[in-house]
Amino acid sequence: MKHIRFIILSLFLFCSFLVNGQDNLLQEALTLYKEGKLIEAKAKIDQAAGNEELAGNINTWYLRGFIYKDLYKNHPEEDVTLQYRSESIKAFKRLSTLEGAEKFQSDISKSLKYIATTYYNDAIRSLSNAKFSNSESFYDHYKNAIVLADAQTDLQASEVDYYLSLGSKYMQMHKVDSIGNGVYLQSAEKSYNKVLAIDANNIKANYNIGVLYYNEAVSLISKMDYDEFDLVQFSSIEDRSIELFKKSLPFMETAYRLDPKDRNTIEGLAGIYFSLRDFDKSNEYKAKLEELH
Amino acid sequence: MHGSDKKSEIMREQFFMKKLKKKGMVAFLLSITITLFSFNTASPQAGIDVNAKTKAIFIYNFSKYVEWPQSALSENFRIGILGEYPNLLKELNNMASTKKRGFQSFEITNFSAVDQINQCQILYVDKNKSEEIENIIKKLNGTSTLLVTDKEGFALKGAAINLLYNQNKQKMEINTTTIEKYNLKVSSQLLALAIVVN
Repeated sequence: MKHIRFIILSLFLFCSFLVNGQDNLLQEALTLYKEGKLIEAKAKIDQAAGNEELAGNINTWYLRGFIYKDLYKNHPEEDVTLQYRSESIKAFKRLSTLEGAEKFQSDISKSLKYIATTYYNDAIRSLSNAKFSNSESFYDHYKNAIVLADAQTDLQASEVDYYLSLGSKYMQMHKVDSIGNGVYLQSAEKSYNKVLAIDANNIKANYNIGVLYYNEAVSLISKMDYDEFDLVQFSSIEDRSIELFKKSLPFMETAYRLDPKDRNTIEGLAGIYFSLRDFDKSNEYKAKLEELH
Repeated sequence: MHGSDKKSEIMREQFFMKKLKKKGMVAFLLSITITLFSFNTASPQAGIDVNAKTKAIFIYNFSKYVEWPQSALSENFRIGILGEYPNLLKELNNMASTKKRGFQSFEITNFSAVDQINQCQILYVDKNKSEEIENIIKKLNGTSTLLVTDKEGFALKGAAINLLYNQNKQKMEINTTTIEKYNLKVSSQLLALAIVVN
């Protein structure tokens, strides 16, 4: 069935070319595309897209979508500057708005899903690099493409997974951030909050955001130089630290409620209560930890 | 028509190849995802005791805001810890490695028993050794050692400064009578932050 669809498309294209001289551009673009001359095909199809008459032709946008998609596949390194994927998406999006596009819906959807997948891969791959600032942008492109492919797509699971990973990446960067301006930490917090907005009972997001505040509270005290502050100033730093320990507590408690056997969470709670000088509570959790042995 | 069929065949092959590649891409996606998500749990900072660091900051500040008689000073400024408090010992040693009191270097000593206590300017008594307060006071008799305890009510049991927690915060009580008894002087700045008891 799928093969027949492509035959129909091809016939449809060529029948159109025969009845309209304007369509030479499309015919040339198709020929070049089939010969694998994608750069030349791109030039022709761009010209066709700029032509008032051809801009309303569904074949223009169908072919343009495929040419740009293949340009990306053959030259992914050029995508950053030449935006092949986003041009392909634009073409398929435009195609969807034109009369008669329904018959291509399945092809459009598959192509968009393919492009979405490449964006998702880029988003995830970027997280492994030191320079990962474009990861979220790739992820946003993925979302746009996948929703265009299928408006019913449930993004919640990938949102949760992606923002947990992004949050952890920011936490890693914060650890090695010598400038220490806290930007990475704020970004990590933002990422985890995105997960919690989707799923308030997500164990990892609750635990990680609890750890985030806990670590920040600890850092305030542990990084203090002895001569940096007098006791009056120390008091205000200690207030801020206590505030952060208290902020950490409900997240860690939620993580514990959701998984009372998790050693890391129990250790976290023992640490928070110890730092809040509630030693009875801290010992309670230490005892629970012992029970798990 | 025959020519169109041939062209369609080429297109069909191209799309078939694309589909195969697509499958490979999905597998790639899964493999990356699994690898990354095994690292998405954060870890708390290990081995840091904020309470010990806080006490070390307080003790360091006592060395700045308390005045000892000239006769009680030695070449180094000595701080003793009576009892087992390894985290505090570690923090004070860290402090001693980078800080000075005027021209004096800090010297940190850990005593495990009262009879081991020798001359020091500040003696911190761990709460587990608090019950030995009477023997400690006898041992310090006639010296100008600033006795710092860490147990509720001990500012009235012979300590010059007692550390305590109030509303999650580290606080201190200063017994001005005891301070005078040991010929020490506390700055007004330190007194302003303390709960004064007599």
